[in-house]
Amino acid sequence: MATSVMSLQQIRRNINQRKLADRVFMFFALFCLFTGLAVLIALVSQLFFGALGYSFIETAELERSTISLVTQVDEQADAPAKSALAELIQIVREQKSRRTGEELLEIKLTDQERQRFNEALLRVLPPVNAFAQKQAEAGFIDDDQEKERVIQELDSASPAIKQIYDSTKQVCSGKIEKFFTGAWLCVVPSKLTPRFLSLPPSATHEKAGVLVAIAGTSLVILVTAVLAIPIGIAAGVFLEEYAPKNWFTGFIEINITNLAGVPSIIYGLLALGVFKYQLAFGESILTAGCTLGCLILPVIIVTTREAIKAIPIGIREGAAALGASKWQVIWDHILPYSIGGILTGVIVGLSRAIGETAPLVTIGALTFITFLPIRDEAPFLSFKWIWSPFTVMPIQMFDWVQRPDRGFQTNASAAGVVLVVMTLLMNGAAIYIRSYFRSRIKW
Amino acid sequence: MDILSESGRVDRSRIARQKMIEKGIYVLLLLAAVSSIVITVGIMQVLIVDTYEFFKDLPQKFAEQAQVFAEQGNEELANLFKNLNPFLEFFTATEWTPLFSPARFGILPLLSGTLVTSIVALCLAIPFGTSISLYLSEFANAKLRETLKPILELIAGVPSVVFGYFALGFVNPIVQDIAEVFGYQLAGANMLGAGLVIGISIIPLISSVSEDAMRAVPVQMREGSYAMGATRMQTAFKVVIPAAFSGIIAAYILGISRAVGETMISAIAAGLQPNFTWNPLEPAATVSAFIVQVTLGDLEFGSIQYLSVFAAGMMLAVTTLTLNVIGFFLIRKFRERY
Repeated sequence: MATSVMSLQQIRRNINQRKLADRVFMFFALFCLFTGLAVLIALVSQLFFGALGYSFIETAELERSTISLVTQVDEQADAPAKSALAELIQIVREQKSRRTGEELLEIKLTDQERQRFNEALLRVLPPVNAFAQKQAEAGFIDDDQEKERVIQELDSASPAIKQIYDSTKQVCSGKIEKFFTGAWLCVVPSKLTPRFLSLPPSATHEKAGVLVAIAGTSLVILVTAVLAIPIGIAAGVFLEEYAPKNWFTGFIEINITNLAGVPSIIYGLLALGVFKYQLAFGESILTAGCTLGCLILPVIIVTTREAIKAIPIGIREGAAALGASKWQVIWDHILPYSIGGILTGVIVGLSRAIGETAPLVTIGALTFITFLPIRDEAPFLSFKWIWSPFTVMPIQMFDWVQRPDRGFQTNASAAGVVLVVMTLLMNGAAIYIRSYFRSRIKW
Repeated sequence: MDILSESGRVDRSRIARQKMIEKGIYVLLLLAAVSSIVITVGIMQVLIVDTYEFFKDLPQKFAEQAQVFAEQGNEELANLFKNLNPFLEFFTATEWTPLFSPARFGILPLLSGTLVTSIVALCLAIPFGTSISLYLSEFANAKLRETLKPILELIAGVPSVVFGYFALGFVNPIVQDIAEVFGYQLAGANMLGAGLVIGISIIPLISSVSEDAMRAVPVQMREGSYAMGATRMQTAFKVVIPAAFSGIIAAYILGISRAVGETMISAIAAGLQPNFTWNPLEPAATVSAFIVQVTLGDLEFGSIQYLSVFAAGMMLAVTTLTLNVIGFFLIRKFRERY
């Protein structure tokens, strides 16, 4: 081994190099980890800020009337609005001095000018937005007294704000207002309000909400849970406690592993072909519940098995020694001790079911349903609702994501916030339950 | 005292009843376990039957189209459709337009879209996922690990439609901006952005499954390595990874089949237009995105469009099944026993 003899210096260098590599890798791993976390933060903040609503200016062209309107407002405006408007006028004048009147009709602002214009306008806009939002909300207030109060509040708003608001006209769906003749003020109100949760879908984004979608999701998940939880736990218990070691059990095990790896869209095809047409369930809550039930069954079976596997054999032997039958051992000991693990799996499975879109899109779940699945009848006496058409949160969100209108994009963000909050709460609950039972039950 | 009668004798009828109950419960549990096979049979049946119908109906569809084009005097297309073989068309044609006229049924564009998005996703997810799992199992202390793991699981819990929205509204614009620096004009939907987000969505899956595998490596093996003077990184790469290789492969296979089957992200952010290209900067539909697109509209039961969805789904199912089988054998081959 003479060749491998190194001098002290070489050894030291070697050690330093290896330590450096070690550190470099650690930083790379940390970088990966924090990228992941940064993505999570970016995702949540994109949803959150997207849902808050905003105003933006479409400046297709500036006409002469713009200036007259600006000066008109100018006389009554309060101080900050005044300075902002002064800047607007300045921009318009600069434009004018550079171009002929004909050109002015087709002016497109440069990026810099546009930014200045927007900044100036945005200084005037917040009070106008607040006004617009209140105005919009006033239409939905059922309580007369409350309505009176809001209208009075609107009346007492600054005259400048009212002036700007009144001089705007609706040009498209929602709160997109014609502000100046050539510039559109688009006010998209915040969707993170209780109102958003209490409205059915609508053709205009500001009157659209997620009430029907939330009801649909709850009922679909209810059906899913009723189907998948008992079957999943029973199958897990069977495979872990009863199943003899033979080819049939092996086949079931491989089959479950495979099912867990099947893409969710394939379950959608199962739903389309089997549940919708062959069993003639139609586009109903029952179809959706069955589909999602099939989808999360492997998850529940696998976690049930793992939870049961963790129970020491001594518990079974002890109970059996006291004369308990097999089922008594399971019912009185195995299930109570493994309930933490089972519950975790169930919650994780259900939260996955809440977020699944693809398998429900394929059955043609309608996205424009403005009525609740449960109407007059008592929900758990009459089960008519399982045949009802439905929409669920992710499909509602998908529908909104696909619309080019920026107002609906806000709705999509808000629906995303609701969806993420729902799934994160469930996952958080699962993590909590797991750590709670892990610290409580020790063998 | 339950099974003893008042006279102190064993009450055999009660034991018999208990046995009956036990038997009933056994049957019920067995049925529950068999239900998973029923699901598989349902999936296989619906895919196989409708794919068969699809190939059976294709010649008729071609003949119809040939006739239509012959009437229009479009000899070229008429001749094309007259001579089409359904299988050759499906596996070798490079156009997939079942919803339009002329309707072509070549699956390659959808497969290329799926492949490109998956490769982009894996290029991100495999290095990131593996590094994260190595860090969590070999470098981080227990406390840090117990905090970070649940957070990673939260990422895994984010619904895919939300990831799709994120891809469309956040990642794609960034990709567009970066591409513009290099002088490319990209469409709002492109496979690169969608693939990256798919990659992000499968990182938690890969990292948590492979971390479990790494943690199952006995601590003595690490200690042996440390005792020989190896650094943590050397231990991680030369001892832990080889020892946990089968588990890591399992994680990759799971990740790959998730990436291949991922639907909403590609449907929202990668485009819905089938496009036979290997360039990730272009938009293209994946197999699953196509299924979503078709089923979003009115789908007539039994029509060729309806059947084409199942044929496409069959391709997807076969792909993931093949991956699972390969994974099964790889895991068996590389499994280490301690």
